[in-house]
Amino acid sequence: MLDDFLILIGRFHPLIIHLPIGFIVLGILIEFNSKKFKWSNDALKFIFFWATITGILSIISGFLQYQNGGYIWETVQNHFLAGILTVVLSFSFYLKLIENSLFKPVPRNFFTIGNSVILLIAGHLGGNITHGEEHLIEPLKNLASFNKVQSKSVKYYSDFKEKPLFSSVIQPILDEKCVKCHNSKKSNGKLKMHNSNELIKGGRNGSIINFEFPEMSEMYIRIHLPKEEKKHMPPKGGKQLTREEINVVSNWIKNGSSFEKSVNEFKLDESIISYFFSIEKPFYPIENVSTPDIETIKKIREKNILVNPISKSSNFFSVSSLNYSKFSDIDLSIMSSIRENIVNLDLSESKVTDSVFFNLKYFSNLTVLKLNNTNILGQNIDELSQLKNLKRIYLVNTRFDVQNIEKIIQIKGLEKVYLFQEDRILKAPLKLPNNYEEILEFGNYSLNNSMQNKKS
Amino acid sequence: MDEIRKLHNEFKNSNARFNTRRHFLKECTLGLGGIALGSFLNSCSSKNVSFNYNADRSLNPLAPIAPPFSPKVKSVIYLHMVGAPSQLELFDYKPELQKLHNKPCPESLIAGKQFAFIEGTPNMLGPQATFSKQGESGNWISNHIPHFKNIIDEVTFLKAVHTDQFNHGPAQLLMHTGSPRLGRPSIGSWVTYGLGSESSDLPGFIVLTSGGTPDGGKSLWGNGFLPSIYQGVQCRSKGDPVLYLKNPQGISRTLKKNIVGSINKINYDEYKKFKDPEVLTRISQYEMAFRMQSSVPDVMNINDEPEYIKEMYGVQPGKESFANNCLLARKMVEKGVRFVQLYDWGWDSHGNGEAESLRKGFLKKCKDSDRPIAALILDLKQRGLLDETLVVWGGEFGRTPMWENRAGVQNTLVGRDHQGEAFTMWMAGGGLKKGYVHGKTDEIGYRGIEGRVSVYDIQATILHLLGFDHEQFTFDFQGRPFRLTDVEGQVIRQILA
Repeated sequence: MLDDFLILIGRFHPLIIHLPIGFIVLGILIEFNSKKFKWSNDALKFIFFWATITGILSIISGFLQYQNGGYIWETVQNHFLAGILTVVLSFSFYLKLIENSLFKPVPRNFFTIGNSVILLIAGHLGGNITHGEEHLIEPLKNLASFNKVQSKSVKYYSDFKEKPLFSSVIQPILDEKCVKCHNSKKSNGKLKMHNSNELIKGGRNGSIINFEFPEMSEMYIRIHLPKEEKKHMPPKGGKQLTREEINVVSNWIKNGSSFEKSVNEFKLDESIISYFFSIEKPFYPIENVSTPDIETIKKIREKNILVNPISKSSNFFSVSSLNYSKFSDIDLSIMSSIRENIVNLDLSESKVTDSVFFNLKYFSNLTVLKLNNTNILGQNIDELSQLKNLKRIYLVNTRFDVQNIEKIIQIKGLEKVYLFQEDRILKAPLKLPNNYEEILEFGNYSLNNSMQNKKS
Repeated sequence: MDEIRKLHNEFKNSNARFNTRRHFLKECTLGLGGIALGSFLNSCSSKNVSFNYNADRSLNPLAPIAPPFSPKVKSVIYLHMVGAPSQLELFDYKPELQKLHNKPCPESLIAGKQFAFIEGTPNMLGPQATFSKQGESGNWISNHIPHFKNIIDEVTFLKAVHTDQFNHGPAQLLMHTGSPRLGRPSIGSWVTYGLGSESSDLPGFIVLTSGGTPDGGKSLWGNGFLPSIYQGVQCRSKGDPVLYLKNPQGISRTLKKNIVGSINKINYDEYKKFKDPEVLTRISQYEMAFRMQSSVPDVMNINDEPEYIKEMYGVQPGKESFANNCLLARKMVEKGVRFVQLYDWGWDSHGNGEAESLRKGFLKKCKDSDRPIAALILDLKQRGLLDETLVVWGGEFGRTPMWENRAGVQNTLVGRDHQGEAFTMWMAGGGLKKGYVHGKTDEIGYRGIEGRVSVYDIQATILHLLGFDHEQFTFDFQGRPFRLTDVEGQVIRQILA
């Protein structure tokens, strides 16, 4: 009974602390007002007297909150000390105001300025405890640089089926949706969920996983309760589990809550798997490039060269000279400052020559290169062999010399090279490594005898 | 280009001039409050603070912009066989149906069903084709389209598509606008609105017809409530590609240029007086139209193609033909056109006339379209365009396994009635499984029993491949956001590579 009452008082801490804050701020405003009021000293006495009283109440309620709220001393320590210091400063200022001899030599500014600084610190630390340390820093980071959020870590694992379901799917879900309130610093209901041992250990009411009757597991029950239900987790207002996440967590619990079993062993629906894993290898390299310089982009656009991100939030760009047929080798230099951002480059029908490859080899993320309808012979095309991400090269209707195929073969990682020529029949020289039969696309498809015309 | 740049700067300056102190005072009492309120309501996700690298659309509403997600394809060629070809004579092989040939249809199949023409009890009609397995995939194909075997390993079949419309007009509208009634934007308009046009000299959405105008009319490529700049531009493969594109007699290109120049100058004076940026948009539209006068005839000219390519498609220069349109579609995609829509009219094989009989008119349609379609896919493939283009083939619905008996009397010629419950469509191109079959119909091809997909699912999948989430891609109209798929549609993930 008394315990519950104390818990209640503790919970009022975030409300009570705003009383002394209000008093102190009001006091400081009066003190620093350029126009001095006749009554200011009397008012200040009254204000700082009450700031002290409410401050003490705050300390008591804060202490109760610490005891019952599942906090760890290390986390609240500094906040607690700063809070006490605030009250002490307020009280000593009050003593100075009523002309207590002890504080006569200390200047008034010491109390007022000191109080504002300490108040800020105490408030900030308190905020960190309730909202997490990233609370302020996160938006600040985003504001400081136009840096878009690094695109969500691409969940691509070629061997994801062999990895334990728990560590690759379940724990990340818990980390995102539960650990905010159930961690080593703050453990509501005495429950911590940041690793497997703590899950087994459970909270105030014991383990949240029931290995004997999985569907009786507290964790299983709580995520399935209707959202309005008090015991539903995550609590109302918190970030909820998605349908797929509920599905996979339930699946994991029902099948024995194993921490080692691999994804494969859990017979998950394909739709569930594809929700958590990108099964297919991403076409473009994984993004780790800086945001491109907007001025360069403007400059490129002024030349009527198309330049656009591959998707709205991507740092990777497609560039095309479709509307600027005068494009020649030197024009490539205007994009040198964003060359790492370019993954898709279309210079078809432009005036580029074979020396373009000397410049292109620095486009380290280039994935698709189109040089259709140009005078390219392919002489220096082996310059591109250091481009690890290059997958497709288009050389349709060029002057491509078939002797240069050997140079193309030196580019590893190619998936397709299009070599169809409208005006002649290009054939691979006799010897080609096996897989290159599929990579080199010479075209020349025909229906019945439609090719005869070309051959003759 | 200098002109455009100058215009662009002017546009920005005048916009900036509009946003002066007066604007600040006017807007900021409510405006700032609105911004604050907006962030309270979580309308602007603070997590995605990002600079917009997309092109500016203020002067050119067709400027290409990036889709929300990384796309698999950048253009679409949609081949619509107007009138609804019979899946039972092309792709959906039903040997069981042969055994029931000319036997009365069981009552249970038609009880409570609505048909366009069938009345009373019709007889069943066996497949009017022979089928064989072709390609490495070993998928079934009819003898009516012999060239198809060359591309069978490139396509993904959807064998259990269904629609709830069984009349041509509404079913076509549903297929292309997401609603069987008039007034919605077509899928090509949505795509052009969302992605713009890469080519600065060509429209982003081009429509080519052969055989006749589709029953749904021009609304099939209309812009609905989207700005009219995004509507499909119909080009004719005979005569002038676009009506009134040529200069009138006695007016030379130079004179035209001077006329456009003078109009733009007058507009510019107007602009200087009133500083309305809308005038600048109008000026840039005039310039684009002038450029199109030469670029459209250029892309519409198939005479300069190599002979063997023309032969492969089976084109008939100077005439209006589906083969010409297929070749044009490839040329347009090559030039950066976003959405090419082909309508080929004449597939409505009821059996009440020679042209509409499965043994006559239907066979001619098969013959006329088989070669160009196979040629189109192979030509796209050898140029590497198939990797970044989506080709969709289909009608607006399918056809019944029953022999049509209009007004209760069996039709004199062999034909089938409309059927929305199950029909075949196919897709080919980037991001799709090759040689794959999704969906299955019952033993007589009357109903989908596995992998049924709706018209909305197909639309959702097309948008998905272009980089859109069909549920997020909306346009506000009459007080609510509208989607192409309205409240339905699921991406057909099973066919994605």
